[in-house]
Amino acid sequence: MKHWPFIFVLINSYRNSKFSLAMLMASLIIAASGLSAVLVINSSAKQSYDNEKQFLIPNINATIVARTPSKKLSKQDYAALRIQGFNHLVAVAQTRQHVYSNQNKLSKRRIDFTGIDTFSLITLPLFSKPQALSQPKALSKTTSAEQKNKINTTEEQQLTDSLLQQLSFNKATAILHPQLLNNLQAAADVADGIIFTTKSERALPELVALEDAALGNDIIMDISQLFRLYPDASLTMLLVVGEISAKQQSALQGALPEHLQFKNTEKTSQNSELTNSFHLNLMAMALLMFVVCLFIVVNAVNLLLNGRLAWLKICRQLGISRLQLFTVQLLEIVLLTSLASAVGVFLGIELAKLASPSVQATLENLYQVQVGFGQVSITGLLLQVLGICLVGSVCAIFIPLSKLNHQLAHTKDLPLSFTQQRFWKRIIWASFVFFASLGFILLHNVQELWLLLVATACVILSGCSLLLANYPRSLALVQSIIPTRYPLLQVSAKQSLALSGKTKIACCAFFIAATSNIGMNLMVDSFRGATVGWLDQRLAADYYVYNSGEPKITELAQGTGVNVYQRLENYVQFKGQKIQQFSYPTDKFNQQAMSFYENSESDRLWEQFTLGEGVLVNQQFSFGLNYEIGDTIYLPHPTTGETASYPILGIIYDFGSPYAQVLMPINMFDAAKSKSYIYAIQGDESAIVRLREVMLEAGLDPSTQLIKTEDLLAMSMQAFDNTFVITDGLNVVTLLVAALSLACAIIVLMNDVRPQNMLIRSMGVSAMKTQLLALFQYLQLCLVALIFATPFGILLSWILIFDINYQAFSWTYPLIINPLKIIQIYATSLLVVTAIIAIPIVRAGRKPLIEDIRWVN
Amino acid sequence: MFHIKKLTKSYTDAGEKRTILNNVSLIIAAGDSISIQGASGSGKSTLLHLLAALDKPDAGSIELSNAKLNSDSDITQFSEKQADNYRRFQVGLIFQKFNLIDCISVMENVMLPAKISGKIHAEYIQELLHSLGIEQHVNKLPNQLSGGEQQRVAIARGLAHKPPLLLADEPTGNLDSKNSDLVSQLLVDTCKQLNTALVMVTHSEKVALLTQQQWYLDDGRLTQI
Repeated sequence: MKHWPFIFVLINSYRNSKFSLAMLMASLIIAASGLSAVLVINSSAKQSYDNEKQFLIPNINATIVARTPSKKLSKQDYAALRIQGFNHLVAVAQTRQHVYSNQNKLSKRRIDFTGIDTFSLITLPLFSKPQALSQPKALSKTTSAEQKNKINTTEEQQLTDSLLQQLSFNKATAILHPQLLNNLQAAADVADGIIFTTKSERALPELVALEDAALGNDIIMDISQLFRLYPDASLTMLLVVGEISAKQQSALQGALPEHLQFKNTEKTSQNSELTNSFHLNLMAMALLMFVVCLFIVVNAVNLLLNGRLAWLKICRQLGISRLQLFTVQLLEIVLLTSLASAVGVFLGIELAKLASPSVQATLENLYQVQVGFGQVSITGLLLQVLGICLVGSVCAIFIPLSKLNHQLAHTKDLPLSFTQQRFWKRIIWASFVFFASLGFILLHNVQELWLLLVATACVILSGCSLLLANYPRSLALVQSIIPTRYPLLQVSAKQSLALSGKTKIACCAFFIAATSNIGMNLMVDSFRGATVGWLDQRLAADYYVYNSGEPKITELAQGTGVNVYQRLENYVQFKGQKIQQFSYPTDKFNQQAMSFYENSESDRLWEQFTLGEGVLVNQQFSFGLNYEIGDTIYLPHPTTGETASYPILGIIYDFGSPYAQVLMPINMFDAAKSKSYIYAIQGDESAIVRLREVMLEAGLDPSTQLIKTEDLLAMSMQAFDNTFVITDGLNVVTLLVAALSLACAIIVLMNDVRPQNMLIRSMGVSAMKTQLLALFQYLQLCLVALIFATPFGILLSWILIFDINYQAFSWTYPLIINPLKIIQIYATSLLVVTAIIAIPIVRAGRKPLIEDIRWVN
Repeated sequence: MFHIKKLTKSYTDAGEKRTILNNVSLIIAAGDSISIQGASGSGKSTLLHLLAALDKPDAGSIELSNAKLNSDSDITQFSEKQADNYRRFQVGLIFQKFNLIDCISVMENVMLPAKISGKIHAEYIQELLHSLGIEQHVNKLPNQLSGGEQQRVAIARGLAHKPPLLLADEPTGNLDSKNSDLVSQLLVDTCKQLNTALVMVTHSEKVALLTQQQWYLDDGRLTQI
């Protein structure tokens, strides 16, 4: 074992390098845990989202649903189709309700109660093959490693199979996810003997926990049980189970009554693209944090190797080759990375659990998806994280190792010659030109989201190059404005210039963190400002009532003295995409409440709109389907269904909506044929009191359904803030990580600046002053990085709003550059950096001067 | 005048107490030049550090009778702030490694202690640079100078704020014999010219002979040669 003597020395050296080793491990663990947390969150959200869109039973290729909400799918329709021989249809009824116990609401969010006609299901020939049916539903279309892993768990397949049989033969059973059961039991606060009921105190069937990711927020039972619990529930859809031939499909479509439609389930919906954007954004943020963590790894390895330099030189003198030194140290990094990855994965899972409420809030706010509980394959996750971390750390140690190679080859670290300096300067400028051009070309020519993210990375990297190219000039500028009466500050400023050359990597990490921080904050700030303005304008009524079913609020409100503006909506197919037709009142009051992104200059806009001679579309429609003002679109009439042409009169803001929407005047809608969910109410307080009373009499809940505009605005903004809580969290973590990177670099540099600090202290400058001067030096570097990061941050927010948001969501909003927000980011960033770098600086400053003198001499 | 009275200092080395200075007494008057010789680890630098108020003795005192500041201050009893002030105004330090700040020019290096103490005498500094033979290098960076030139800059820096006492810890240890002779001669002459007391620790007998008093430190005791 030729490496053994060196390994022996290396292991023993840990005694003297505990701090740098701890720093290295901490940075690797942070990177691994951050990455695994995001992978878990992504996987969980994806599973939940897939659950929302998929069916409990596999091999569902089509469904039969009602064409309009006004005429529903009935039990008679189901019976009629089965009588005609369509036995592969299985009825599903769904309702979203709370669970109660002793009249106490146990569920925080409403739970999806799903009833399946299990008798029909079990009589299907397909069901006689348990392996086909027993696959958990979330796995039928997925490809992720975790999910594939889960397919192989035959034990669970058998469990699902037996439970489905149990549902069909033992009618008093309902299945749900164990965690949902735990949550309900915990909320009931009684360990045993809980009777779960509906609001009307009907006892739920016996709840059986099933370890299946697919279950999420559902309680599944036989359809008869569901109708027993909720007699008013109606059939949601008929599942077409198994493969059907084109002939069978045509026969089925022919047999359908007019109000029902056949829908293929394989078409990807607009929403799944949206979740992809969410995952991509989350992944991009995680990778950003990961990259910044790698900067710490670079600095931490540098720190570790710096401490070893003396004895590494002795090893070389004793005849150990440089290759041997590298091999063992590379192996060491691989081992440390593996250990850190394992720890990081477990920490990441815990972190994901902690972040889970925020993720749920985000997904619910963005996509109206009820997020359930994800299943994680630890082995798969570990392999994924280990792979990425190994690649990252091996890349990260390249720079310190090559530096070490240089140091081992030369006894003296010679300064760069003028030619070398000029060479590196040219390389940096060339990198700037390369990244800036690539970013520019990509931003102007691509539409794929991942390429836009690459373009964003190019923009940030071009910023790094520009910063490095201009650091000396900028620092010289700072130095020139320091008055001569502060000689120490001047010296300190000059030292910063020298230090900037040695802290390039850490400064770049800080620049990246600062740029993303400014960019993300300006984006969120702009979005918030736009949303507040938009809501303020759009929510023009005094109150809003949310009621999706009967009774109609327009009817209830008659005689109460309130004015009701009904919002009617239809969903129609337009260019293969589901779009919303939404009613909009045409009176003066509502005209003023409209918030346009762009409108036709015509004075007759509202007149044309009122007469049905044109429509308004939201940005999602305009950008997503590529329409402009003046273009003509062909749409079915909301009442008659006849297709007619409508010119686009205006494009409106509609932040956060996943749907392309067309606004049409309310007189074109028939209340009986359209879905009605929102009612805008105007009236004095006494009229509102009367409305409240009639709502109560009609069995509605005015405390939750009749919402004052200010409360609605507050709720909307709360939802908004919840949506961005993850982004904010990741921003702060990235900044912390960048500050840690800088702290590592400072520790490495402490030895370099020690003689100079010693000298200044020996001239009678107090330790405190020396520490403050050191802090000033690094804050000066950070300030310059922040100044450079500002235009790039603004550019980043511009890209996020006008390119990435545009491509991902098909809507944009005005970019608001709030100088106060930028100053706030400056202050926060410098504060975070001060807090972190103060540790090594104070640590170094607390050493008695005599120790430094002895060390230097 | 500095009056060192019965200074005692000991260290614990591997659990064993070792007295490095044992009842050392010495008087340093203005303009005196004193060299201290001794074997490695004999306590020469420790004595210098005590004189610079960088370290505290176990016993004894160093009285500074300087009418300008504190008429009868005991350096060994100084607080950290007092010690800082003492070094800022009363002491100049020269090290074996020249310890020049490499990112600022020769002139800025020399001016730094003067600026820190607020005692800037431009004419005096020009004369100092001239007498040390480095006035032509003032705009250069330290790494553009030879070792001997760098040490001369360090001497100028040590004297720039007109300290009454200059402490030099093996100032020629890093120089070749030719430069060593030249620099040590310049150091002694300049101090004499400025009436600055010089305490110089050296291993070189030749350098020591340039000073007025030669002392030898052995087994914790200081004896005049």
